[in-house]
Amino acid sequence: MAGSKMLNAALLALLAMAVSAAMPALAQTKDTITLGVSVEPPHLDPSSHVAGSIREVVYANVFEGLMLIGSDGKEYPALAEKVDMSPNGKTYTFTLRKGVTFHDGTPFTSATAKFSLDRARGPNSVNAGKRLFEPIDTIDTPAVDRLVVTLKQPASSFLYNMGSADAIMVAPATADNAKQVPVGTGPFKFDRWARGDRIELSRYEKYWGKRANFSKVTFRIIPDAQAQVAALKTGDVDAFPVMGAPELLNEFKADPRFQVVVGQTQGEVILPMNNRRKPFSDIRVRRAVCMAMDRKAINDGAVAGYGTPIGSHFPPGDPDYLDLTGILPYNVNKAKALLAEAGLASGFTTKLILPPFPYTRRSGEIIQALLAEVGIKADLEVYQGPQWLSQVFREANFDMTVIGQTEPRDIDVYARDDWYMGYGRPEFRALAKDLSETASPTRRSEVLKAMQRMLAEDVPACYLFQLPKTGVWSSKLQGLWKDSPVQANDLTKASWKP
Amino acid sequence: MVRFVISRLFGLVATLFATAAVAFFLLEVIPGDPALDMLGTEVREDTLAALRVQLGLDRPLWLRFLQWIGGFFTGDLGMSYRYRVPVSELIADPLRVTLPLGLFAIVITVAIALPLGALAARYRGKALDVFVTLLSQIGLAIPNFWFAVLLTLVFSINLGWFAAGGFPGWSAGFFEALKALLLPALSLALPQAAIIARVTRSAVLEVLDADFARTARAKGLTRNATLWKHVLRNAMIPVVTVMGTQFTFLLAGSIIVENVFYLPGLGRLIFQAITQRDLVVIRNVVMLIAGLIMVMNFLVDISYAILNPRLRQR
Repeated sequence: MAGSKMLNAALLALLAMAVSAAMPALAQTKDTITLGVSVEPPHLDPSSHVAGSIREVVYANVFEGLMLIGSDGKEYPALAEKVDMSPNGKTYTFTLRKGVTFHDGTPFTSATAKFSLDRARGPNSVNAGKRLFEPIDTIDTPAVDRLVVTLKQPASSFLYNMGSADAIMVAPATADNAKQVPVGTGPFKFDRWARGDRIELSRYEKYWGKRANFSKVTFRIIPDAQAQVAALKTGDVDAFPVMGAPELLNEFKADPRFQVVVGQTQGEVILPMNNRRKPFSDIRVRRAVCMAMDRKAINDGAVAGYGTPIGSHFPPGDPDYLDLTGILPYNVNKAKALLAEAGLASGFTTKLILPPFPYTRRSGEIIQALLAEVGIKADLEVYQGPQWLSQVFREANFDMTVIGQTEPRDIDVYARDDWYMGYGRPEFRALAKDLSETASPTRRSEVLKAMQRMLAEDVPACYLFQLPKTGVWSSKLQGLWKDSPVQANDLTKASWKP
Repeated sequence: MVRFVISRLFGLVATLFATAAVAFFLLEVIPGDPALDMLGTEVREDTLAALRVQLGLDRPLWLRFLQWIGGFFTGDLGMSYRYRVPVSELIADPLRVTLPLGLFAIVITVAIALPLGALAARYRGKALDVFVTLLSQIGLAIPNFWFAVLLTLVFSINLGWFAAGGFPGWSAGFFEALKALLLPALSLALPQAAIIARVTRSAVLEVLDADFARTARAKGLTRNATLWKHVLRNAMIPVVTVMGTQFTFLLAGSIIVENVFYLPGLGRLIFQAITQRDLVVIRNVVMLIAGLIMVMNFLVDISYAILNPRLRQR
């Protein structure tokens, strides 16, 4: 009978599925690694897009620059073997490494380096970090392994900037297609990208440096935090450098198969206020708002307490950091008193715009409650990323907002003319100018500390906490970055424990 | 019959055009600049302008609309803002995940719901009927993403029978790929099955009381033969109607379920496109989904005419 034939076929199919399901998963071979990331990169060329998701795949793995930035946040020579700076600080002579090839065999020479830098700073460049190349006046190639860069004026952070992902080296033949098929000089070469699912790299055997410890690297794209947890627990993924649900870290801490490594990022989570608008143009009001902020409560609610409270726009992990959290401590009565002094004893109503990240939304809700305690009624509104960028950041059409500023070494942004917060203090600008020109590390440190103090007192924004890097990975892995001084998943020193 | 089909087709095309116009112009009105989003807060003005030209954002709105519509005939649907690849390429792979997933979910739904609904009607009032009604109540109440997480917890994490998610690709083997779609399809199928079971039950109940059913029994047909040979076929019309409308919810549900199981499907694609304001991808996927739904409804209309010859006269 036709019915029973169909039934047989269906049963057979089910049996086959059950059998294949029961077979044990292939044991993870010890020389490949699968990392999970929560955001899929738009493409794979960091020199034409700002997204951190691109850097998290290709920085130091596929692409390298003349310099690179290490896990300690300091730049070190990569494709440049050594760098000599002229006494007047305007000329840098890079001696390039010999025998370096791109993944397609093209040799890396000073001509390639000049091409890469000119591409980044050229008139048609769509490089998001074009600002970094502004100080460059001329680039010369006196020898195949020598590159001479002359600046218009000294720039103390020039070498650091050359370690940025915006300054990676590309080859002329493959640069245009770098978005889809990135060809770099790094220890891993690009294999394939199954959109929405994974990106695969494999070891580049002709790498100039120390051979990579993994023959294959797979980046799995898993946006949903619950799914990330499931993927880790079932072994689909070996490591999640930034696991999206900090409140679930305790589960992994208790599990001997995993290690939980919480580190620092360059992301300051802050509460910017529109200094051009009333009532925030009054410094007393801004100080009152900041004194209404219970940093511990916000930290606990937004990132399960794994963040670090901050008092100014500077990361606690940096050696030049000053702990200024005591300048405007949490004090509801003092906040109310200051508001009364400013003529706002009965409080006021304002709009608090939130970008859609989990930590900004959670912070926003807690902040709303804290503001209510001092009589400020904050109406919350969630904007999508592009809308926040257009309306808040470009047009400065906002009252208050919450954001994590993740660019490294960005304290000098407050000196910009068009900075959305409207902080225009000339003394700060003078300090920023000093910072960019000075070459002496002691002077740098002094200036940075002075800038931190000024911001902590003027509070164009309230400084809440530093975003943590909540990493969960197999206890058998070593060498993965604990902190995130730049957005990257540098695998060059990572390996499985023997 | 031919006139019936032609008039329906006409309506389909007109609706599609209206949808395209609404999708295009509505999306353009929303604030936010794709170029700015791609280059970030540190960008300089000239870089921004250069990118806008590259993306074609400097051309007038109506021209871009017409070029897009024309593209439906040439296959050139535009370039994704974010990925910088042709949209047709971008949609191809996710389609090979979402369509099979949807079909799988429909197969499971029909396989579960029709027999259960029919049997519940046949044994109305008895234990089986109560049980099926209870199950369908629960199935309606449970959100499919919660059910998805539950399935993952039990079958992936605890029992280890399935991966927690992901799709190996059809190249990894038919059964491997199907295995990866099983839990997601079940999550999608559950609320659908609950609804279809109820609709089947009430449709069958109605038909069971009809004269011709009683005639069949009087003729000497067994209860079962009556049910499967005569009653069910006639009860299909309301069931097919509901299945047609449920298809929409199936596609919508796939956005959430694909996220939970990190499947690289159409739902995930459009979800990401929305958060990244990739207008080109959004409007094309909106058109695709709208098109699929309209085709589905069109087929439902045609199936009426097949199931019920009296409708062919219209």
